[in-house]
Amino acid sequence: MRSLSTSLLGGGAAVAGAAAAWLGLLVAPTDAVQGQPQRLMYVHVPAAWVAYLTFAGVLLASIAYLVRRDLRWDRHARSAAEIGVGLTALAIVLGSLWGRPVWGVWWTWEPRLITTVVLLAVYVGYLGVRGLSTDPHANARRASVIGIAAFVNVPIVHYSVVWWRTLHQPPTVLRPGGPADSIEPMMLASLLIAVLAFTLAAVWVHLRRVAVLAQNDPAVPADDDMPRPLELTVTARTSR
Amino acid sequence: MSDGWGWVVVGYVLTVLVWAGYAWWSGRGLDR
Repeated sequence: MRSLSTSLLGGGAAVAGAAAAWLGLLVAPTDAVQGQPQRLMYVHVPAAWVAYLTFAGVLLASIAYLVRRDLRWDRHARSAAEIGVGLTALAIVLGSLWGRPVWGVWWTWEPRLITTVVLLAVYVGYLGVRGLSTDPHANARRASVIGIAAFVNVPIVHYSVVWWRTLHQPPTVLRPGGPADSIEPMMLASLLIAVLAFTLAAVWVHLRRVAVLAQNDPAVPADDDMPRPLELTVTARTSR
Repeated sequence: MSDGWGWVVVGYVLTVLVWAGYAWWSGRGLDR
């Protein structure tokens, strides 16, 4: 059942991804000011938003671990952070590709970019501290505290364009009053389908990753009723 | 490509590669 639902999720992500590419590259109108490079927003913004989502997942799974002391929650937190780190790095690189033709620079030290790099560094550090101990619960406890504290960076990144004077544009969609008068409808549709594709893909990757982490944990019993190879060996010796 | 399509193509190809990498990485060692 897990395999079927995961396959359906992966298929859905692929279909949504193809639709997002078609809309973003061919259907959405060309931006009157930025020209074709604006189409990078249909991958840059979903990468950033879904990274936020994964870090919210780290927050919730970390709280759940500290409450329940169940390593399953720790595996969810670890996998979510691994995906979030990659998507944050992708968002930075895609933003840089957009910045070169539109801003005229690959990089500039302004609040949104700086806070995003800090966000990336904090979650890279979060993944780094997970290997400090041989006790999985000690690692999970330490990581959970950091995973909860680190989330404060997400609203700082999001509101950095509101709180400080920035070169980066203010929110277009996630803003008071909504996106109705700030973005052309087909542009908004292209963006939202891409967000859907990124979300489905992230959940699909996450479920597979969590399954692998569980498989590699010697404390976790197998999903089915079949004895593990070690148990088979012991049973055979006992029966002789 | 002077109209900016080059940047767009590079960005979309990079995005596909990142997701392909995650698909490969998340499936390593997965029991099927």
